[in-house]
Amino acid sequence: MTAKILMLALLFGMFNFNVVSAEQAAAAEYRRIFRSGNFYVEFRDKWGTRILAGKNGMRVERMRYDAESGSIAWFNPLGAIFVGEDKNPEVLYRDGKFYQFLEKKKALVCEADKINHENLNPRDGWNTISQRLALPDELAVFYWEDTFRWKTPAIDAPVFQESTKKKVDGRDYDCDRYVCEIKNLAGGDTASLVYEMFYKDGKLFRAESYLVRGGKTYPLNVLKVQKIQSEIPADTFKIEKNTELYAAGMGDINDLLEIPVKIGTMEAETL
Amino acid sequence: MKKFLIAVLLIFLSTAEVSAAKIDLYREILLRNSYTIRYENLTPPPRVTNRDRVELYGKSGLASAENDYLTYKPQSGVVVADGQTRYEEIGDEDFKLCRFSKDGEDFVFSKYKKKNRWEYFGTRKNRVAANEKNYLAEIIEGKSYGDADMSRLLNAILPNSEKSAQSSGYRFIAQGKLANGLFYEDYRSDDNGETEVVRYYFSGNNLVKIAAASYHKDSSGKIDGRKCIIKIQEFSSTPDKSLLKLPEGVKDETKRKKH
Repeated sequence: MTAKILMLALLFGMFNFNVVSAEQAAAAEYRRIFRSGNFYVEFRDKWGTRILAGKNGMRVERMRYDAESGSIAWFNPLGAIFVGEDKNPEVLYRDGKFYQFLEKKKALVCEADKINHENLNPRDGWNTISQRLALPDELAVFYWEDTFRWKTPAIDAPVFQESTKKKVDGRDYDCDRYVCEIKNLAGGDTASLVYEMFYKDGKLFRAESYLVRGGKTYPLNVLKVQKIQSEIPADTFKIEKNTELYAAGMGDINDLLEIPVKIGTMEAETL
Repeated sequence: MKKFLIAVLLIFLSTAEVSAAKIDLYREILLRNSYTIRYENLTPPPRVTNRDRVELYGKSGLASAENDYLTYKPQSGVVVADGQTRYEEIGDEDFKLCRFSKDGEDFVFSKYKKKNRWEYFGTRKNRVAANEKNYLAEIIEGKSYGDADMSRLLNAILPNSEKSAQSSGYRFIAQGKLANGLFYEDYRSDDNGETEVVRYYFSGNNLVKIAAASYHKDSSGKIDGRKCIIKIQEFSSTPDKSLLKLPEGVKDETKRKKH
């Protein structure tokens, strides 16, 4: 009898342990949303609120700058007034082309297969444009294969490690931990990249990343997640009426004279 | 017997990377994180613009040589490290970009000459504020040693276990003595679509010069390459501690969270 109770207790113990160490149910849902290609996420980083959305192969990035990061808004002519509904996004990908909306009603366009071309002006940042439309690493834990992401053989895909309770601002939250190994050229592991996903009422609200090397921990980033959903609000992909399109300079005479070539106008569209 | 000889040769080649060489001393110094390096890059990287892709013919060219900004100029660099405390600077005699790293914080500022005295500019004149150090970038890209060329050519001598899986591996090719009395060691890399050969020059056991040539195919399939020559003025294992603090008169105005 005692043995039976002991067995039951043990089984229960194991069962409980499994429940605690399993991934949060929402993780599978986030995976499904991101893999479908149609998603809408809102999160805060240190500059403000960033919006990323995907729809039918398109991607868009919008930004809502904080009042306190005034200098950033100042650098970006659209920054301070970016909350309005019919304003252009920051970056758009559509039909094999990337669009950078630099000034009001003006966009630079570059074909996707040319973004690493050596004749592009390095200051236009085309080589990192794809990364701007990719999910941030903390969210890419659910969609590591995102084609817009920068990839490196040095970082392995994340592996779920455990689910625990962890404190944020004095309160306990469910916390899923994922680990990526960072590889060295000799084939060994140099360090670990750790992602901790915090859930409140079953929803992801915070993601933290840090680096663990030689027993030391180095914090990298904190992402405050506001929304992850498959419904895309109207106007997320909206382009302002009569936005002029200019070709990305390829080091020709127009670049030298600083006269970009106009290649068309975008009509007001709700994509 | 032939097979045996080949095997011996293969073993020798595979261990060539770590065989006793004059560069070993410098690898050790870098790994110990305690050094002062002063150098001059005689072939600074191309300017960051695509306007020089334009080909103009005839005599009436643009007066680009009169524009300081557009002129290729040798740049001198200083790198000092004492453990995790580091200082780097790169620039010409009138203007330098600097980075001072301590306790997980990076202070980036410039210094420029005004009336023969250095003035500093971070967040504003004589004020700096720290950024969090980007540890991930350092692990993936390797440590920075002033400019991009020097960073690459010094990371090249580190063992593969100290480099990330995306970096280029360099292998020992040859060594010898030149007619002018200098010794040399050659290393080569063929990773990431780029071939680079590097020659480290030694006067006795002192590293005095690094020369490199590299090429890759551009997007139209044409071969594009560049060369690089770096004169080493100092490479010692003693950190110049006078540089491992913020310059005098420069105030730190970082807003730090209280823990």
